[in-house]
Amino acid sequence: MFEKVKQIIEENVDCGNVKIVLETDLISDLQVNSLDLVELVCAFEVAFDIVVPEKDIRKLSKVSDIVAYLEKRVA
Amino acid sequence: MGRYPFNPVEKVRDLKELTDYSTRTYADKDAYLIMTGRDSYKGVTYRQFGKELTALANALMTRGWAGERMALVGENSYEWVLAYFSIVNTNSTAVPLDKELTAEELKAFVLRAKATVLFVSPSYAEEAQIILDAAPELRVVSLGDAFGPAMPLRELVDEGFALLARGEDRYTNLEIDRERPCAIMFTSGTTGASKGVLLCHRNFAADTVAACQMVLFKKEDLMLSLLPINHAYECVCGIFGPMLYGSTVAFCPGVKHLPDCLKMFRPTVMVLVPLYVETFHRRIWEKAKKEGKEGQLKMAIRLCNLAAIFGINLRDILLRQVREAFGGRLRLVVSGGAYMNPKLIKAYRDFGIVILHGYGATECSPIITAKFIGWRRDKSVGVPLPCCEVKIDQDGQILVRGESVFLDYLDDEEGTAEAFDGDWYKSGDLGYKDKDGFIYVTGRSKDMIVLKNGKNIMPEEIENLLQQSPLIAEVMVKEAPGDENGSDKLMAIIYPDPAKKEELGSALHSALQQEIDSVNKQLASFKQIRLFALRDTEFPKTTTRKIKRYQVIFGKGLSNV
Repeated sequence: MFEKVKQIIEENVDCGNVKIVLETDLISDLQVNSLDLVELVCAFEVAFDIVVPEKDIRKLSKVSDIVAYLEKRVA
Repeated sequence: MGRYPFNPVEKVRDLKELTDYSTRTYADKDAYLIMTGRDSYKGVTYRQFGKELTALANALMTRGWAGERMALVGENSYEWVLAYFSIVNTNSTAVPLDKELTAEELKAFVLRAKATVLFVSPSYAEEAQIILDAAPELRVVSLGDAFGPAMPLRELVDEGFALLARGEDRYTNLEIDRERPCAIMFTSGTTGASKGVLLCHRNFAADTVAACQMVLFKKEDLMLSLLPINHAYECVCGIFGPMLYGSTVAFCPGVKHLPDCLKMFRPTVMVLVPLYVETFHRRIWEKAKKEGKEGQLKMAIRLCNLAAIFGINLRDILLRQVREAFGGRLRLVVSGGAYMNPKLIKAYRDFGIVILHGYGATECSPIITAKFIGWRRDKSVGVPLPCCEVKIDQDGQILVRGESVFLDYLDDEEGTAEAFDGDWYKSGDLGYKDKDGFIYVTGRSKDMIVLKNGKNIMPEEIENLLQQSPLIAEVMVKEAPGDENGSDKLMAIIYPDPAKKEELGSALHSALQQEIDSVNKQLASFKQIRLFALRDTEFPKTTTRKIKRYQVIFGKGLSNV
């Protein structure tokens, strides 16, 4: 799951020199703002064929949050 | 300052006069458009809205709920607007709450406001239950389908229609008390630092009329309602203003739906905060770069600007693709809530989209200054609305007085007294006025932090939580370093407990991160700490031991940033 999440982030966000690890925070480490985050979540929705309610998006800041959330939803 | 040719608008004196006027004058026109699928929607005419409002208001009055305080939590929707007007138009008090808050924060506000009714959308069922556990007497109404303890709004509307069918109408001729608080607007924070701003019908009506006298909407305009509707800014600019002009409002149920909404509704007007304006602009250029069309776009803009000098509009042809990104018809963006980089105003003008950036405060219902379309002083936030006066005091603070200035703060006489200098409201913003009366905002004198997403944050609320950690001796929360457009996140500057610092050594950083993570879990996303830095010395303080915030400069004397 982590590898897939990492790949989607790298495809959608300008990561510069930041290495994506579980502890990476999209907002503070990758300078993703709240609108960019929504767009990124839409990419996860397409990749995993799920619908993420808008209020859940606010809980997804660290890569580890995203991985845990998707594992729960996809299962 | 001279007088301006104000737009002629109906001078309504309260929000019931506003709904009565618009439902009568624009009866057959669509007031609202509601998304029913990715590419489908349904309309609600002003007449239908008026009928449903009359029914719902009658139901509230007959049940004996009128006159009470009623909280609202939910996405931007027709039902939210219907519930809101049924509250304020029955001499009751609306308490619109930010849906981004945590359940605990929402609960604190409902209890503090002593609300007896909660209108809540089904997606907040979990939060509603937590609030209900703390306030078992609360009546819960769903803004959608019924759930758990919540009865559906539709049932109340039907109840009202049954009353009307029996000839029982207590609402139509109801007199509005224009001086009574009709809304409690909470500023950010759940501690004593947050304020419940009491606004009355006179405040809202004065601000709406005055804003419309300056900012010209058209009956044919289609407004996309996207910003959180609980804010006075979205209410006045996105709902009340369009209603006075007979425009149509389409609801975007969330940012995720924005691309579909832009494509389907093709709005002509949007109310935004600078973060959105900036992000849309960045994405247009990123896309152009990715497709190798950056040079082409720059050339097209130059040509359009040149042609415009001769009165020729080439934008619809040469910039069609850019304009399509906004639906193709967007002509006006009303912007406020935070600092706006003048370069962006120019950049949108190049696309053929006017940005009217104004200035306001919840305490002023909320718009204080605005510009007419065509005014070009991009660094200025415009001139005062005709409903208020603005002056700058000896410390450079912006003061406001007039019909739109609030009554007082909820249960806070001291705070209210501190907020005024005579009848002038002290905004806490610093600025100046030029010789022509244009206002310029240069900074803030109060502690409140304003981020570019329009969110206002009281730092004390977060500092109090962080201060509970044994690792932290002193802490100050401020906006994190941003770009030339401002910042959209917070940072903490920490003076660690010297003994713990010595004890933990190199493990201090990760221990502090854990403490911050734990505090972040208690906070709404926009209030979370995204960065922290350490100080080696105590903060400079006043004689009353308060941190001198404006002497703390990011980067100076800090380590571990």
